[in-house]
Amino acid sequence: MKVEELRQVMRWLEEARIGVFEIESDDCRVRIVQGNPTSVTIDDGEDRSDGVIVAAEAPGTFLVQHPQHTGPIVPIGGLVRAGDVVALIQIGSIYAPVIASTDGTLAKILTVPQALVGFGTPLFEIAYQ
Amino acid sequence: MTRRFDKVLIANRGEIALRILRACRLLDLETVVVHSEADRAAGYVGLADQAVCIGPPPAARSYLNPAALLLAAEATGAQAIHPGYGFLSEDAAFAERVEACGLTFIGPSAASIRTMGDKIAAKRAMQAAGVPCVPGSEGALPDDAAAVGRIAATVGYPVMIKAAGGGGGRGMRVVRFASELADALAITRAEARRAFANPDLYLEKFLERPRHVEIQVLCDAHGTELWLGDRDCSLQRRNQKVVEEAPAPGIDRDLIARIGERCAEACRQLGYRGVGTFEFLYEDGAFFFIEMNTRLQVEHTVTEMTGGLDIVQKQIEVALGEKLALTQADVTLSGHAIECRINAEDPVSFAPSAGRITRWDLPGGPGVRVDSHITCGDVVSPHYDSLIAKLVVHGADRRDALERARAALSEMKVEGISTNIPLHRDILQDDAFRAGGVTIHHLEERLAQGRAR
Repeated sequence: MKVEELRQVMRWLEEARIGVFEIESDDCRVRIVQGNPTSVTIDDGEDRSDGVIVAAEAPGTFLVQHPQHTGPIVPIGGLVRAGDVVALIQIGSIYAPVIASTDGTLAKILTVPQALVGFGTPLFEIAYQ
Repeated sequence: MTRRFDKVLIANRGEIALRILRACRLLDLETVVVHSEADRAAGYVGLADQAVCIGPPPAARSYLNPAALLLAAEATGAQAIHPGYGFLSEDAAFAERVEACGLTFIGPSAASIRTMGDKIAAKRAMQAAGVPCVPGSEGALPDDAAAVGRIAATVGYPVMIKAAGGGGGRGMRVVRFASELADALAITRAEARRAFANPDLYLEKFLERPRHVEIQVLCDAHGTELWLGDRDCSLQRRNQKVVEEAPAPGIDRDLIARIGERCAEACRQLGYRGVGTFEFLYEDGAFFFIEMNTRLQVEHTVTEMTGGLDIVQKQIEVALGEKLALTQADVTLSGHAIECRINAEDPVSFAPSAGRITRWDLPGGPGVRVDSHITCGDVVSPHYDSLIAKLVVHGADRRDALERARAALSEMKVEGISTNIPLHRDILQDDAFRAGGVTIHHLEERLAQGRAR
């Protein structure tokens, strides 16, 4: 879909007051959510980003180091492999692992350690090597 | 004195999450609102002391996910869970899990929920307490269709075949003639097994022109069982209530008081705790129990308006273990209240209407209350129930309440999505509704006539 076509679709949605619009074909998925600002997500299978975001899967307290260890589980800039534990989510006496979804380097921490996080809260960015 | 809990997790969304949050604030309780990704930006979420996202938009993975709710309680240190209505509010297994985690479930015991969830057990308990029930089978129906035929003949056609695990209009079938009985039994039994995992059926006399009248109860753990008033919820479409009012018009108040006392007695015998509603069909001057809802109801507001009590606050106080500082003599009714459920739906086709609200003008003035979580600019999500506001009016008498409802609806302006406000305006012009006492079929019959014209 061309950018101009996308703009036209957005105008139609605005006029028809349709809040959420999603269209999917074999090779492309476009999702438009009206709002301030309107968000447009395009997924055509190609990954143009420099890395991936690791998000929390359960509510709890975000920890970058194990309470009995000194220093972080993985330092910023450290190498990780897919499946590595990179942080913990503490839920009462449970420490649930946060798992790296890809190989790369731990580029950025996106949430303040010790903060309460919920499902989908972005925690880390892992940059591809 | 330390309280049983001082932090409440609200396991619901929308207007009722906000309603519960307000009651918690009045009691100086901290609040945790859990929400799905779709409700992240909702205004009431920001009002809570803590807010936690528990899952993606589909309810099965968020508001209906017991593990996510319990993890959120653990992570936030909430010691009590208020389930609201719908979702997990009448799930006995969830209530049990909450208590097993050492938390307080703000509602009745799991045993009470389980008893009332099984319609046969519920009816037996009501008969024991002297609550009038619809004439029908004693307990579950036998497998033998001929034996069922004899029961049906004794009760008298038409009869209704119902699933013990059903409710809210699901799992039931009307049989008008003996020749239709065997097929109806087979189909309903198969449905019951599939939908409720409970193949038990029972049979009741089918009432042709009943009204839906219900009694609100409130009980503490110290032996106080009160009935707070009656509501008429006969205006329904597909078993969904559209307009509710209190008190029920044109019914002898002494008769209602006797029924209310039977409900309080049933609570005493069951050891019931918290708020609840006994639903009845009312026909030809007689009440017939149909089911009990073991939770707060959407339409609790009309009883609040006529009785002057904050029912949600009382519900939480009872869960805190407090003794009700009320007796039945303190429960008095004043005036008349009407609630219009404002839904995000097409007023003619009733198709849900999702999208962004671009105008949200609410009515005001004496005796007008709007319970809503919506603010202008909000997006109504297609994932959940379409209820976006409850317009509740209170007047000196029914006529006054009707006028206030009419005036309030004329002020209410919503744009960006469709709502059923035009339907409510029509209902308030309807002669039969204005006269009071329409049956549960009235709205659908009226809509069918409208389509035929």
